Amino acid sequence: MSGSLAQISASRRVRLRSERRPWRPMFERSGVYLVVLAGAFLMALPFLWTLSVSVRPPGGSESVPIQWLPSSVTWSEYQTVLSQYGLGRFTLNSLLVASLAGLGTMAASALLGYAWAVFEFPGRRLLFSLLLLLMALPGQVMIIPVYLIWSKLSAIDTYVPLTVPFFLGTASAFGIFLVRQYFLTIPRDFRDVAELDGAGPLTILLRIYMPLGLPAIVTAGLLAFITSWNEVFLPLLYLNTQSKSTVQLGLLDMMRGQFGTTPPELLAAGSVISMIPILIVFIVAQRWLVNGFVGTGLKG
Amino acid sequence: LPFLVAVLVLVGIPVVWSAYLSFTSFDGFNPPTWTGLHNWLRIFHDPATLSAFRNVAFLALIFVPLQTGLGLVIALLLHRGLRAVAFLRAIYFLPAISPWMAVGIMWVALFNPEYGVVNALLSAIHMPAGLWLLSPNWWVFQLVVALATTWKGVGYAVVLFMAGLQAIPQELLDAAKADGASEWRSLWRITIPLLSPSTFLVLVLSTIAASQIFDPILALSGGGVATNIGGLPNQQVVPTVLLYSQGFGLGHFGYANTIAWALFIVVAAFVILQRRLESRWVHYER
Repeated sequence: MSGSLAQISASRRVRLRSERRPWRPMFERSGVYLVVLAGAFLMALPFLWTLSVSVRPPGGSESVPIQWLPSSVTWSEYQTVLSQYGLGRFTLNSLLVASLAGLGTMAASALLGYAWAVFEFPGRRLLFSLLLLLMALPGQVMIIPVYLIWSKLSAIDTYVPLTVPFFLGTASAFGIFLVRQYFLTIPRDFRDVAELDGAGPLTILLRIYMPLGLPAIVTAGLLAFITSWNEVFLPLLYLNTQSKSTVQLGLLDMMRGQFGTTPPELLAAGSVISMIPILIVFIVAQRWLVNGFVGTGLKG
Repeated sequence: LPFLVAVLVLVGIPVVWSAYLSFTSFDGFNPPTWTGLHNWLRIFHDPATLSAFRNVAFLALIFVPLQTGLGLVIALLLHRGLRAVAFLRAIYFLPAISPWMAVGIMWVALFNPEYGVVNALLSAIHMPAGLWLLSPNWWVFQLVVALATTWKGVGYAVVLFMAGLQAIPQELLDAAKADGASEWRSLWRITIPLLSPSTFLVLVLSTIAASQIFDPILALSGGGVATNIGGLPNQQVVPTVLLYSQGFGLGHFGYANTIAWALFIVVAAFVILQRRLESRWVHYER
């Protein structure tokens, strides 16, 4: 720190400078806006173009030079994709799988997060580092043994491998961590008072921690819902029957041209459909999701 | 507690088993036979594996700095008290939670050599058009993958950086301003050093993400890598794709596991290296 005199003169100098050139901050500000908005436009461009393609009649996007906006709007692509390509049914399948994944994560993260945050037991710190390691361990290292286990249990071509790991907590490590960190912020006094009143651990969890920790638990569930909805590798691995496909698997089959080459307009419509649930969740719970992604105290 | 132990057992068994399988020849039906280091040596002779590691290294070399740098710049700009920050941040963040298949459809359409937006824009400024994802050059395909992955991941980096920015005490910046430091100077001398824990986190997470890349390749190859199990095009192969085709396509589960572990070892080495270098430039409070 410099002396107070120098400080005063310095701050006066700063003020003078900005008084002399009042246009400068304004200029700078609009420059920042320009850059940020241009970036945002670039970010949104793929979405907008896909939306624009999806409402054109077949072949409507294949023109040189390109047309930015469709000359006529039709929804027939959406109908075709939903019925003929089975995306309607796949959407229901995906909703079921992703909801189970979300519920499983909520249950596992509440229970395990509670156990982790509250109980003292030997090796607690070690377990904690192991959980972090589990989050960092590449799925590829485990995928083959896990696949072989599920096939031994004859769970192939069912939704079991896609949902049960969320209930067991092996697929919801991040959610458990999130909820645990949130539970740690709940004052110990609450628990002590409840214990004096003769409440058992389960009652305390249900009556105190779950209601208070609901934002974190719901966030963990929503994140799991999104993860499961977006997942394509595991359904590709575990599901064989066409009618059991998830939306992402359906899109993959459309891209691969399983039923002959798929016109770009149909692909675009499929892409938009698969975005809708994500958009809804995002709009409803944006703040929670963003904070959840950052993780509570994950840094450092 | 029993539940926690159960979780660890559920995780631990596959890890150990997977490590064991990497030293065996195993087709999924017959019992595995011990082949010693054979699989591990094969990695160094197999041209497909070598391409896979080369491709992913190139991809990471572009993606990791690009995502970290762009994320930092955008976060710094958004942090300047703009209006509608939440809205802008939402737009930057939306790709991060979008499904890769949907994103793949978008990018394949954008980079279509004939009808795509990218070539249309390039020709508008008199630049040559490219084949992009259809190019036989491995680095062109991987370049588009790196760009798409950056587009999808940068919002996540922005959010992490913005959280870091919020933790920087305002008094520090005020004091610097009072001392006559220019904004540029306090950015380099205060903000960026204090933000280094976030930068480190983004770097490590990006490195891990790049190494495990699978969905983007699947999506941007139009699902090709799941179809052409035997004859994967050279430019599209990365370790995870190879693992899938060797293991689940060809039934070489032993070798596939070896690839998984080789990948893990390389990435772990990089993360440890980053952590070693951490103390040189990452500044922690207290």
